Amino acid sequence: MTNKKIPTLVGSGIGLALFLAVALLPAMLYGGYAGLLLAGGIFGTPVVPTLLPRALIVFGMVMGVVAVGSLSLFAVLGAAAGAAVGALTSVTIRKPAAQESASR
Amino acid sequence: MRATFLVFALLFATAARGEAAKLPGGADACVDCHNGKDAPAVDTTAFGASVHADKASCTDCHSGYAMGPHEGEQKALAPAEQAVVDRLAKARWPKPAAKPAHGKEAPKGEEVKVTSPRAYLACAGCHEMEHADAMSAWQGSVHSKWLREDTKAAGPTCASCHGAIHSVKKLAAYDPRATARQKVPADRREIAKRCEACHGNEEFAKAAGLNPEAAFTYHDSIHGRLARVGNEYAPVCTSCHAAEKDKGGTHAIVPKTNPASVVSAATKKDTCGRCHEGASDNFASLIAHTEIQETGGHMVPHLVHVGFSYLTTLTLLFFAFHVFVDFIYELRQRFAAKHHGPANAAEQMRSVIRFDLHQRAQHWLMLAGVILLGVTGWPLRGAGDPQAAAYSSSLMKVFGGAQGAAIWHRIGAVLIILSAIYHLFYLTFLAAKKRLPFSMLPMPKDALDMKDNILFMLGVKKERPKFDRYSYLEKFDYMGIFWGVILMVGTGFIFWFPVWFASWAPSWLITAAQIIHGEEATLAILFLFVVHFYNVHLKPSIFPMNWVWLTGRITVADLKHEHPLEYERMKPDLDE
Repeated sequence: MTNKKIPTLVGSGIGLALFLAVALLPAMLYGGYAGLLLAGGIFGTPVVPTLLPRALIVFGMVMGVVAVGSLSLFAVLGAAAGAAVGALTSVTIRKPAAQESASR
Repeated sequence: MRATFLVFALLFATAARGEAAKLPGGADACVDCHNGKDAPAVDTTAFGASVHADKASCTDCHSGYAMGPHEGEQKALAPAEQAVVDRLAKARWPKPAAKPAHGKEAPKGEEVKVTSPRAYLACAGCHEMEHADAMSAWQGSVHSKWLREDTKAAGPTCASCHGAIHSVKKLAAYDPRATARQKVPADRREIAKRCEACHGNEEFAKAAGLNPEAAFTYHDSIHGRLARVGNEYAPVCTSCHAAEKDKGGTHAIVPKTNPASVVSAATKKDTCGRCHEGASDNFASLIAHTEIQETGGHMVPHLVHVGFSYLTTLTLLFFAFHVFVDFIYELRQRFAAKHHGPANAAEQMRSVIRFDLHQRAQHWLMLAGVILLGVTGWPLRGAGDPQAAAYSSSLMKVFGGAQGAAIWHRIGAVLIILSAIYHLFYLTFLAAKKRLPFSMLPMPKDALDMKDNILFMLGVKKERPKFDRYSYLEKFDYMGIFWGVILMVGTGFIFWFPVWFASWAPSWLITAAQIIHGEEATLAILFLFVVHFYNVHLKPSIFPMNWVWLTGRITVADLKHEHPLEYERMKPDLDE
């Protein structure tokens, strides 16, 4: 693992922790609701809680969690923020060229 | 100084005593017994703050009583009045979800009944003089029918809508006009909850011969969702069903089959016109307390709904499978790489331009617009679920509340429109220069590539298909954007200017547009945030992201691996 990757991974870790703290439940609710709407279109309304509609709702929940949590608004933004912080700190702490060549 | 202090002290003392002295004359004797121990309690604080505090004494409403336990004190009523009291005494309602309105609070799961039926005679006694229009309207309304004749179920009393009589408050002024939209006062939202206690109770609604879906379909409609996420202008029951104030207001509700109803076929457009200036009959037909795909009875919205449900489900299932297989393949590759050592370091350092500045700018506009549309639009769609609505409301506060989120949503729409226009100009420019690339067009090879790639990732095939400048996944993303922008922008404009569209377009088209906007949003958001974000961000080999969207450059190693046909075409130039 390179030093460049560490801030990125730390950022995504923070993003994921934030997701678990504040957005896991709404992501499941929104995803489950999307699954329910799809089940309504395919199996008709009112949706009878049989195996396939339940499976579709669970699938919707998984999609909601993955969409909101691991990929988009938390992990990726956290990773991007971490990468940005890493880039900024690497610029600010870089040794002057003369000092760098002297140390070789 | 001391004199000034005394003057203020006296002033405040008088004011304080004035607040406490709002109980009517003679009430002290009643309250002595009605303390919750010897007799049912009266909330004197609530009564003191109520509209009746300085207008009615206990015996104005509870007439005919003398001091004592009251048994056998009351005189016989006239037959007509006795009939009303008997109906009130027999009446039972489902317990409302909120604070009960019909008097004594019933234990959970039980019905509610009137505790002092004779007292209701006094409502008419006073208000016939004070609010003759309202009383006259009430006596002819559908809600008072049950007091005049036998009906399937009991209708409402004064308290059903106004709340417990001992704590009735004066209602805020509310008279919405299209030219001056008015926020719905909090008391009308409270009244809506009381409407729902009967109209939203499926069992009671069926017994009373009402539409059992009325409350559900309201909450599922655009009006109900806006109300749930906290839009202060979103209409409630009385916004549409109450007559004009000088015609009796909410007291004048009659069946919609009655031409005098404000939601009758002939008058409904005028009612919609309270908020939507210029509303036509066609516009008015779009809201009908039915599921949206069944509104109007045309088959197109129904087919669109079913078709989109299948399209979304099958697309997401397929690509979720694709993501899963790819993820497993990537993990296997990472494990193998550790054994085989790193790839060519020079090829990893060297890069070539993949996207020029115009292409990146178009993508930046598109991604900003789509994310903005997603985070401001999905909370409204998700508000169809009552539990999710609370989160929607919180999320929308980030954008300045429901009204603020609506503005940001339109800004997002403008961003994707700008991106689309930019892209069309860009393509036209390239065409004029005879440099228009056709590498994004889907070809039969893409279908074969997809099949072969999945088999390869599953380990069935030994060799990965060779992709050109754009793989089938990138082409799907690109064509999906075309499809999505056309559908979302087209239907979004119908939402933005509904009255104008309803003035010429058939209602089934507008209803279908409403369905498409919501269902295409579900497909687009889940596809982009799961499938596209996986391919460009979370894939283990490129996490946290493929930087090409910022730098426009791709390493030669990635080019060789991801787009081998393009790499082979470029190789002579790269070798120079």
